[in-house]
Amino acid sequence: MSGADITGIAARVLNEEARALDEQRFDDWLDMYAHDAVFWVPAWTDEGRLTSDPETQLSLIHCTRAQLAERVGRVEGGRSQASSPLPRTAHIVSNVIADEIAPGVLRVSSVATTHAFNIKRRTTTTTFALVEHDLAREDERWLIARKTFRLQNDYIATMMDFYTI
Amino acid sequence: METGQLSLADIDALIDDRPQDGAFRVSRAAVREEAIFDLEMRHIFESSWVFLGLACQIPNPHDFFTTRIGHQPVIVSRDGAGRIRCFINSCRHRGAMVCHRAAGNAKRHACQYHGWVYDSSGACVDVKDEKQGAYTQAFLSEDHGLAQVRLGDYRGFLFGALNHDGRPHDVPAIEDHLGDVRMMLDLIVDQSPEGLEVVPGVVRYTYDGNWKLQLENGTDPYHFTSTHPSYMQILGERGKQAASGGHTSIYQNFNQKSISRGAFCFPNGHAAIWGETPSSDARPIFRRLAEITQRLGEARAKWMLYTRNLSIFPNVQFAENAALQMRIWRPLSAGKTEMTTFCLAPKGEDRAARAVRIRQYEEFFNPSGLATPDDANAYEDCQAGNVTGAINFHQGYARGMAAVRRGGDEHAAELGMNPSTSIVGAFEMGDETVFHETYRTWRNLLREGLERDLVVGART
Ligand code: FES
Ligand SMILES: [Fe+2]
Repeated sequence: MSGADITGIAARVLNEEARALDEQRFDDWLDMYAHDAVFWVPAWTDEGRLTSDPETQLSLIHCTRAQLAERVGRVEGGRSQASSPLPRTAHIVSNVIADEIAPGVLRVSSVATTHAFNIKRRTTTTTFALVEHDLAREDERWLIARKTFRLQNDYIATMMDFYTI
Repeated sequence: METGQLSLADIDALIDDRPQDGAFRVSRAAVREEAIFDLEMRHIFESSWVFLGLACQIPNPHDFFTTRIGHQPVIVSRDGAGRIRCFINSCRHRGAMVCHRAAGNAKRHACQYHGWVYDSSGACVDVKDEKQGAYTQAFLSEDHGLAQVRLGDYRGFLFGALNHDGRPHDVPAIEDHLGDVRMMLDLIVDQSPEGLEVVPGVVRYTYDGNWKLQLENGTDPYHFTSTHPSYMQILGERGKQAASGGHTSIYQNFNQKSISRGAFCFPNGHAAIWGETPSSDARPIFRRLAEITQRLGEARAKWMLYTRNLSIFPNVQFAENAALQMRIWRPLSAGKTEMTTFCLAPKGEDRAARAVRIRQYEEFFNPSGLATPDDANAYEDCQAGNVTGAINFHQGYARGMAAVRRGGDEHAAELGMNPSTSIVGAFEMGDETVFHETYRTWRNLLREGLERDLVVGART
């Protein structure tokens, strides 16, 4: 495949992920993740570095797919006051560059800008991040095997969850 | 209310404190009014001991971190001789902030405006082009160093107290300010013979609510079952799926019928709640219990496994439940607060225990976790509902009043503490007397501050 083909495939997956979040189709979103996927939002240190080892350093979010499923259940269960009503969001994905790092494995970098409108407070927050996805071919689909989300503006307005970033 | 118009009677009316009638009420103005906020900043945050951070954040010579005391930026630095100092982060020349990094190591801090240079003890080591400056003796005889702030260090817990209007406040020695709440701090720092450390990574967030909403929430057992059911549900599901054996969260087996909760108020506004931990084998220190017991005795080992939330008035909490959190806040306005939060751990913890600690920490304490977002949302709801003086008093400080007693109880005695008040009861009691001494301290500091203002005002 050419670089353009690969980047086209990757952009399609990332855009579908963004659309699933914006339309609050969280089960569809979850379904895009491989069963052993890791979703990681490292924290920053006061020395200006991102944490690099989630076993010994702090993350904002470090979840397996099973824990992402718990988060979806929490949001949809209606028993979290921070998650209801859910904010309306627009996930914007851009600057997509993909490389095939192994047969059937794409490493994709992108920039994510997410606007979230808090219906209760009538406030809007914006986060922006440098994102890395690993996509793995499974049968006819490209699944997200790993997502690392480098949050650039880590001064969080009240709260943050998988659907606000 | 405007600051200039607040009278001593207004301050007195912030609390309706009538022990003889069994009444304790706090005015809704306390979290709402900017005039109160201005007084709090001047007469609490900028006049008394404020928590800065931990000595273990700056272990080496020339290590520093920056923070604020009230509105005032300060630098906390270990000088070349290893002594910790705190000085005002504002150039003596024309006031520019000198250091703009959150933390690091620096022998010199140079002001970027006219180039004055300070060393890690705060001393001015270069007034740029001083010789050519045609200075008079009056200037040359002044101290040009960054202004030193009074520093209190209790076992590595660092506090600072500002001068106000150039006048030193007669704050007590830090040991006296803390009083017996020191024993609760000891339970944090003594978990390892090597002491404490901060897990790398800092999380900052804001919420649109008053700082006292966080202060209250940290020792508020009453909200737990109604604010955090989604978190408890997740843990419940995990417990069912887990193979038999160890627990991965301290809240597994949570049964509010079988656990009790206690609370202490301490002088100077400090407070703590404590309780048995539902699944203490999920505590990272559980596997080191034998060593801890041998070193400190049964009582302290037992208390280390308890869930303990501690407020050191006015700006820090140490919460030890799922993990150990240090949360420092900075009021930005009556309706906005900044939180700076750290995951703490005993030094020398093995890798597996550390990973368990970090995952539990993130899930419970992060604003991107499964519990803290619901707390922060509740603070914002409180602030949103309380916008006028249409109602005078909250009804939220009455639980436990028929059961609280003055002084210590047998639980306090286990640690050799003599608190102002003690209470213990069923989990559902959801005690609220734990806030009383804090609000009395708060009101007294505002009153004393306003009295000083009035005296100064009368003189000028
Ligand atoms: S303000 Fe710092 S050198 Fe002038
Ligand atoms: Fe809570």
